[in-house]
Amino acid sequence: METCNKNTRFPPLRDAPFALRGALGGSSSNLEQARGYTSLPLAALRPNVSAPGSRTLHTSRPMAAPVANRPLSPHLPLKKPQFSATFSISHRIFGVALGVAIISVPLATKFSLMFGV
Amino acid sequence: MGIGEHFEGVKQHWARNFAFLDYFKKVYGRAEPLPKWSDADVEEFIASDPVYGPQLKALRESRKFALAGALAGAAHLGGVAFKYSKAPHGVVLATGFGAITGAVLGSEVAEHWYQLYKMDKQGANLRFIYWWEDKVSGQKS
Repeated sequence: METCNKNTRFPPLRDAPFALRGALGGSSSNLEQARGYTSLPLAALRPNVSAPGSRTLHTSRPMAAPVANRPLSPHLPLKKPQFSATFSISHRIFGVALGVAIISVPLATKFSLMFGV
Repeated sequence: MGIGEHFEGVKQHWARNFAFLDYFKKVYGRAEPLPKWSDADVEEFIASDPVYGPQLKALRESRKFALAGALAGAAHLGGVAFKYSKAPHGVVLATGFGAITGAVLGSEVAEHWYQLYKMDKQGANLRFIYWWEDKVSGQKS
């Protein structure tokens, strides 16, 4: 309960993920929490939750928020080209080309008769 | 029995199976291509030939079915893709595939509408090609 109150008072810590709380927050909050779980059975039943309705969901974040001008996820220029990826891409390209070549033969014979003269 | 002997035995069979390729050699494999013909020339041939004229007329009419089918297929599949897809290239590919599929379906409808399956389509086209060749060479000389 004590850590919960401390978090609501300190804005950057309120939404911090659990893994970051030790890095961001006070030095002893995790320790206190752990001690509290072991010493108080009631606290173990009700873990560290904020008041109902006040917790921010990840969906409640505004979608059109201004984002930093940074490179987006697949950093292709940073990656060394791998043989397996190159073979995979070229395999698909050649497969599509072969399929188009095969299907175009009967289509060409059919429509050349119809549109030839 | 060697492979050569075997091939000698089935050569006639495969020559008959691939005889349809002869049409393309005669139409597209000419040493010097024929001069362009217009729709009026084709109409003249259709009026002049009592056997192959109506066949060529039906074959040319079947284009409308194929084009209408291509239009309908492109509109349908392209419309579905345009409504639901978020990829522009997917919309383009779907429209093209719908056009091809619709054209094949429309030509199949025309095949039964005009009973094209009874006709010698290659023969009708070739008759016109030969007729045009004679006419052009007659004009030259």
